[in-house]
Amino acid sequence: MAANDIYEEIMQCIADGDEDWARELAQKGLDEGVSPLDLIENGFTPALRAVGERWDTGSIFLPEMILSADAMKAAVRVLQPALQEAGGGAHDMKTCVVGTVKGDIHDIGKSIVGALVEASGLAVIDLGTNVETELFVNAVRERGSCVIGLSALLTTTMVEMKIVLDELAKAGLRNQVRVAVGGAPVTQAFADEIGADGYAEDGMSAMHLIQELAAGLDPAPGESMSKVA
Amino acid sequence: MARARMTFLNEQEQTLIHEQSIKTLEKIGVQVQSRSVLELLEQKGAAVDYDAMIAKLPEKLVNASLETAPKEFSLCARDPKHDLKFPSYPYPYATTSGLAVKVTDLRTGEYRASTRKDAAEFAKLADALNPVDFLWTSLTATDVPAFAHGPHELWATMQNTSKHVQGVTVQSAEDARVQVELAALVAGGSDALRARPLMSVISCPIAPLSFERGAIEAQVEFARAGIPICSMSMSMGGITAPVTVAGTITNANTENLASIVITQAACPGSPHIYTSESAPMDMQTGAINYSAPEKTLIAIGLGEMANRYGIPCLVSDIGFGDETHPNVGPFSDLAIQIMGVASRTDILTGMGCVDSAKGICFGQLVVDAYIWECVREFMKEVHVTEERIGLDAVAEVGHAHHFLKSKHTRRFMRDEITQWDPSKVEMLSSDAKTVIAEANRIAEQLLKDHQVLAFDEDLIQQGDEIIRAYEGRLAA
Repeated sequence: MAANDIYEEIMQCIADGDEDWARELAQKGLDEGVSPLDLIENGFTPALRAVGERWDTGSIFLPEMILSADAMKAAVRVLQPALQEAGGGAHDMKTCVVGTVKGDIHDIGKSIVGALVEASGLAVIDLGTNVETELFVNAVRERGSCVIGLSALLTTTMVEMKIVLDELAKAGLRNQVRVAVGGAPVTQAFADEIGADGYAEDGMSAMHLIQELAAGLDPAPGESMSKVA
Repeated sequence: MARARMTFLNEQEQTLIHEQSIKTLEKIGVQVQSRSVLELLEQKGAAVDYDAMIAKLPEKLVNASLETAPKEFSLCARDPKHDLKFPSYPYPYATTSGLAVKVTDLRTGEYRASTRKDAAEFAKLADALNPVDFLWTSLTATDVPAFAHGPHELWATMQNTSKHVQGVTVQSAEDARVQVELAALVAGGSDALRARPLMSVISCPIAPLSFERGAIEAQVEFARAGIPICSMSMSMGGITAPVTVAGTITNANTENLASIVITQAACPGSPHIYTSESAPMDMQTGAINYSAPEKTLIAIGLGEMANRYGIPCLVSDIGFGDETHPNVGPFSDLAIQIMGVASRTDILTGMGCVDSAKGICFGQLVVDAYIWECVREFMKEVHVTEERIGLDAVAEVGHAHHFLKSKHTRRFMRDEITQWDPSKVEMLSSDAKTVIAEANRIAEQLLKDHQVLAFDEDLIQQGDEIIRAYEGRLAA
């Protein structure tokens, strides 16, 4: 099969949000000798971008967008070993760490943002909910330069966002990261007050904000596709 | 007696939803993140998996719980003239929105974080407005210790109204005990509170099918104290419930049945209000879509399910704010909500809210109260009798004449035909700038003139001390 044919199939499978098919196509591409980087750069990434454009225009819905992002993630997992073998450092990818702060078990908003950010082409590490502050700090130590997306849905847990920022500063890591905050009770004023780098009201604006913040980051040494969670 | 109500589900469809809920409870079960509540359910016949924290509730237990849940009771008020008898008649009771974290400052117009003082002041305004039948704790006191904000809000609200108060924030069993203690202080003891519950509470499951530890242990405490529970399912079609209208209704129905089982397990005969604030998600953003016509269909369907069980219900809203300042809202929202209020709900919530219920606006409460005063007449009881049909008058007037001078007209005109207050209609029909200015002016005037039935100074101090002691225990 010519590479163009597989790219067409990838385009279709990402549009369909079909995880199994995405895994199959990733493996098939490798088996046929297409490089993992080519599969990503010429296949999966443009396919996901096309889905994102259709979402922007309102022709597809959020669940379809998330399924497409998951299909992309499944494909990347198949390609990961081959990327590492090929020295994937050539393909730098900015990272976003997302999590809901300590004491707060709300999952959905943060997960939507994670999926959308991943669909926009960043590597996403989802630390989950009720995340201890030190886990955010450790993530920055391990990953280096990155964007952190903090979620809180309770007025009682919003304050944890400031604690994360304070602990990052204490650890001397604050200048390596950009911190975006969101969640129902969070406001731009609160973000300004605690010294966050940005605030977004919904999933879509969070994705755009994180893209912008990531664009302003210095590439971390050794940051690579192999670090996709 | 005729009363206009929306109908939606036929008998067969209601039966299917009920059966699917029972199947869910028996086969899939509900997650209850509390060992003590799981033990309680096990004692009553539930099959419990303590590792997964799942309780499977047999149909027999659900039926027994529906049997003991009272069909008639009252939400009582400090001033008995504001007592609310259930089922409601002829139209539902309307209450304020709750748990907002922002407020539009009445004097400056600034949209800012809300404080305990705002909660108190907003309660006073709600107390002053006749169409507001009772109050939710509407605003989050962001200026008090976070883990004690529920008792602070309840106490600030109770001091500023003689109407019934429904608390919307509770974080633990101990928090519940403190709130009960405050209410009992006002009622004159725990037995008096049980006899005349001056407060009730909203207790939310986490959709789908899960009960968080703090909230559910608090629910058990409240039920044991005789405090009425509103099991507010917030099923969001497409995210936390199946995307379909029928799937969302079934999820919310299942969560309500499970919650009723828990209340009745804690204290058989304790009052429970079947409650939902369910809606589809916005398919583009994932946010809750309060403007979807399907939200109204879900409300009407759930009202019919609650009526089927004979349990009083809160399934629909009245509140038209969509900005941060007073406004009548878009026509589509108005139309959708008016259909929703004609569901079989006993309670409507949402008055005074703005910004998708994240904020509260004083002037908006005035606007919503005025609109509700007009709209509810659509749901009044209408007598359909030979006397009212008036064939005698028809014969007397004869062909091609008029009824202006008929005795029948004079006898029934005031009783039958609503004449809206022209000054209120004029305000609601004004341009946006006038609505804002006038609604805020009325709110300020009411706050200035209205006298709330006051608490004794001693009582206030005792309540303050209960809260201080609670904060002290938390700090320790």
